[in-house]
Amino acid sequence: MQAVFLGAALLAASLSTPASGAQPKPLVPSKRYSLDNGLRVVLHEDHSQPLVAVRVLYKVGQRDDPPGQQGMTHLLEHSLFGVTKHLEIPVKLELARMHAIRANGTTEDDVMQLFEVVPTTSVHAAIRLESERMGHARFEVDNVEDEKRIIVRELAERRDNLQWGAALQSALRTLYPATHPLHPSTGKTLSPITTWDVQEFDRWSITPNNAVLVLAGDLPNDTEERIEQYFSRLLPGPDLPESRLPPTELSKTIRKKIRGAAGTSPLALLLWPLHEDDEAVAIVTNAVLSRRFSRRDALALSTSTAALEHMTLPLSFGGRTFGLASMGGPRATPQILEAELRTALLELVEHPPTANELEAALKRRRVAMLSELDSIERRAEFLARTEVSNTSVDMVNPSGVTPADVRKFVDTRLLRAPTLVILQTPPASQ
Amino acid sequence: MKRLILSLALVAAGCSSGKLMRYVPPDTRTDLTFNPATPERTQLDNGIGVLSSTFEHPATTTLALVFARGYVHDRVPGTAKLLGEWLQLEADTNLSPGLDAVGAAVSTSVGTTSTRLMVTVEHQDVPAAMKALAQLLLHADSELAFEAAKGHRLGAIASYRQNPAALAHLAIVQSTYGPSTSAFDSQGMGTRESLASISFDDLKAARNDMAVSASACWLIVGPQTQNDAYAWAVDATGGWGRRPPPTATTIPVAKQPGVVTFVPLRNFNTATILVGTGVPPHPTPALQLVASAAAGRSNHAMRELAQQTYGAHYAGLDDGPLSLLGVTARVPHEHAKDAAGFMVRSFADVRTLTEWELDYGTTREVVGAYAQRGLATAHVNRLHEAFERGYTFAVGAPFQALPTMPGPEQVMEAYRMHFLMKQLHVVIVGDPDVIEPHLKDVTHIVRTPEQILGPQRPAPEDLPSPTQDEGEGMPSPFEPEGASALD
Repeated sequence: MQAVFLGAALLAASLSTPASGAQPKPLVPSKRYSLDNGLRVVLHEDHSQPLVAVRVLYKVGQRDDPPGQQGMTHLLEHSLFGVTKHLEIPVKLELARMHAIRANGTTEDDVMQLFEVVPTTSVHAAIRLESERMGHARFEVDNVEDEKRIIVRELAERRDNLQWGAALQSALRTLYPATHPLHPSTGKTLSPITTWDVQEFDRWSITPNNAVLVLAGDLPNDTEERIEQYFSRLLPGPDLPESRLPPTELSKTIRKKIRGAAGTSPLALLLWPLHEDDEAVAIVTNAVLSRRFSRRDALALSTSTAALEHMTLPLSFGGRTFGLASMGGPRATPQILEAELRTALLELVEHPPTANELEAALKRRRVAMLSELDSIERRAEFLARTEVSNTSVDMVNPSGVTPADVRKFVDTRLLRAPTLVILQTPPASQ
Repeated sequence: MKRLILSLALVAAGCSSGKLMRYVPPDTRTDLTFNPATPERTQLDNGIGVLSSTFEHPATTTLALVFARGYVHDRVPGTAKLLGEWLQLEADTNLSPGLDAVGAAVSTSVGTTSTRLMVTVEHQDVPAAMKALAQLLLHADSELAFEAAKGHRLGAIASYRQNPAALAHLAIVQSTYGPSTSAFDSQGMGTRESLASISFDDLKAARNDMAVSASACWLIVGPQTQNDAYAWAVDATGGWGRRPPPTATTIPVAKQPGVVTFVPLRNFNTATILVGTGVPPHPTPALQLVASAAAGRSNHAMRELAQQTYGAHYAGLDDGPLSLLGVTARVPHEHAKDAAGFMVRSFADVRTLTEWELDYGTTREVVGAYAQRGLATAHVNRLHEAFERGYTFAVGAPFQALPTMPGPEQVMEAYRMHFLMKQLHVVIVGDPDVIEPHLKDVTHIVRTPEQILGPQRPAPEDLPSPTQDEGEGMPSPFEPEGASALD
């Protein structure tokens, strides 16, 4: 979960390190330009390894799923590993041909990303492959139906085999009504989607003017020519309005008790809708409460033997929320875990963080984020997300937040605000 | 798209379609060049080693303090991992101005033959971080954190009771290396009884045994020079007295004949299967390729031929002398026996691997190795491995740019030497009502989770906790009346 959090935090990170009086220095130096058809291109050179991370980010996500067809974007992402007009074997086999590693795709609330890491000698092939997916994907009935079954299995696996799977699904189901795009997809919502639907969805969303192409690593000299060669021929799609989710709202506290699958532990999950204006203070509060970055309450939680894991949740979970979660040991109950989390919040109000504590937590967080940029894959992701980000908050170095701001946020936005509480009990047989 | 498994078998299927590819990428192995970082080694007067590599990185340096003491040296099983947990909690909770000031989040890890404390910090904070790490180690003294650490370790043992993958791993370790009373039995976890017998003084004594100069080494990966690294190490640990490590325990290495073990575990949606064998420490690429090939063949058989949906995956445990290679899968309970059969046969089929499959496998290993070498933490792991092996690289010379990729003969040799069918172990974890009838005609042994984990499952009320009386049975103050039913 932390990895997801940091990835999400990078989403809107500024391209610059803190000013500190000097000229801002790019965290990841890059060359950025656009083709005539609207495709945004970002190139980052690092010749220390003979590898290139290739990533295409499309500005289409779960929020764009048609009502009653939740899962459409996810299904499209899966289907883009099938056949195309000019590749004579399916994309997944072509990726193997070019010795790609970590070839995969992700679908989030607001974006879909397709990515792989290839040897330098396969960059040309990778550029061609991504242009094929962008402009010439073909959708066959058998393939689309297969992918629906695979997605249903993926969802079941996540629900049944991940500690937090059932609790997170329950939270999404509760926060968002059945017609909302972020309501979890199921076999029922995927079933009515036809191959034609997927093709139409692809036609308007998987287009050059809705995409960012990032190449990071050991770029050959002819990279820009190849990009021009393969992508400039693709026709732009319709201009899409910026789709925005309505704010997540909770008018009263809702409590849900769920029974976890076999092997799961007692869990407590607390979620609050987050106001857009609170983004910076939420980041700082997140760092202060996070066990990874802060020493606050870690010992109390540890010595209770109840909480084995305690974490803050990504701000982007389910649109825009702030979350606290705790997983218990053998003698914990979800109620004890919830009490511990609430106590940690009360403690923060009664004994607000000192300026030093706040600074130390933020420094830990910053170091963790910077070290993630170790890999060309993460740099490619960072650049892609930065290119489409529209937040003004510097996620790496949030500034201007005081201890008093944190205290006020915890008091008014969390402790006194309606809360979604999910309490998970392990199966009775355990 | 987590299902995208670029398996050997899948690619082989693509190749045999008879179609010509319009586009054939060049041979990736011939044109790639790579100038890896060069590790350098020096030693302080008191015997502490310093291994450092100059590594270009945007903003951070990764450093570790490693000791040649792991759980195989435990006098009481579970001691080394408890020590690691205690130091982790001390780092997480003890107010350490030094660690706070540099934003260092310490991570500890305990292996069979070594223990490591690692941090990542910004370059300018490296000297302070090294001092803080050494201080943490020498001055950790919180009994509260000790009790908490013990609770965590007992909790971990209890959680294994409901973790099919962990049970399968433990079961195969025990069947591969045979019954003993060493820490091998539990991969260093120990048992409820052994942990209960460790006092705070015992743990501090174990810390003192470990933290001696002759068994310690700094690992530093960042933009520094070796002179910098040496000076920082002197500043942080030059004052440690010269003390030799205690006599090392003999490491038991046993290889038992292959056996099928069934572990009854109800209520899970799928059965877990692990097929594998013990291999020499730090498995070579040739050995890993054999297991990858078996995984690819199993995956193909299960997904494409038998329409079993979950597939099979490579399973590797590179844990010093306790190394295993194999294939693992999760399948519906009713398919468990057939799937295990596919997996065993996939090892037998390795002898039929085509040259093309081997070539594909080696190239992907190379590409994967490049990707790993680009990460500072992976580079620290390489230094750590060199330390564990007794610095078996040429100091002052670069690491090999790539692992030596074996040819077909070497892969087959590794297969013949280390993947004997009679030493292949099979573990099936799943529902006894469904699986046991299928196993009637298969010679197997049954081991319950309790037998694997030790004599008893920890009773929750026995867990040590300073706050247990307050917490036990306490109603939640936040539980409203008429809480909703289970949804």
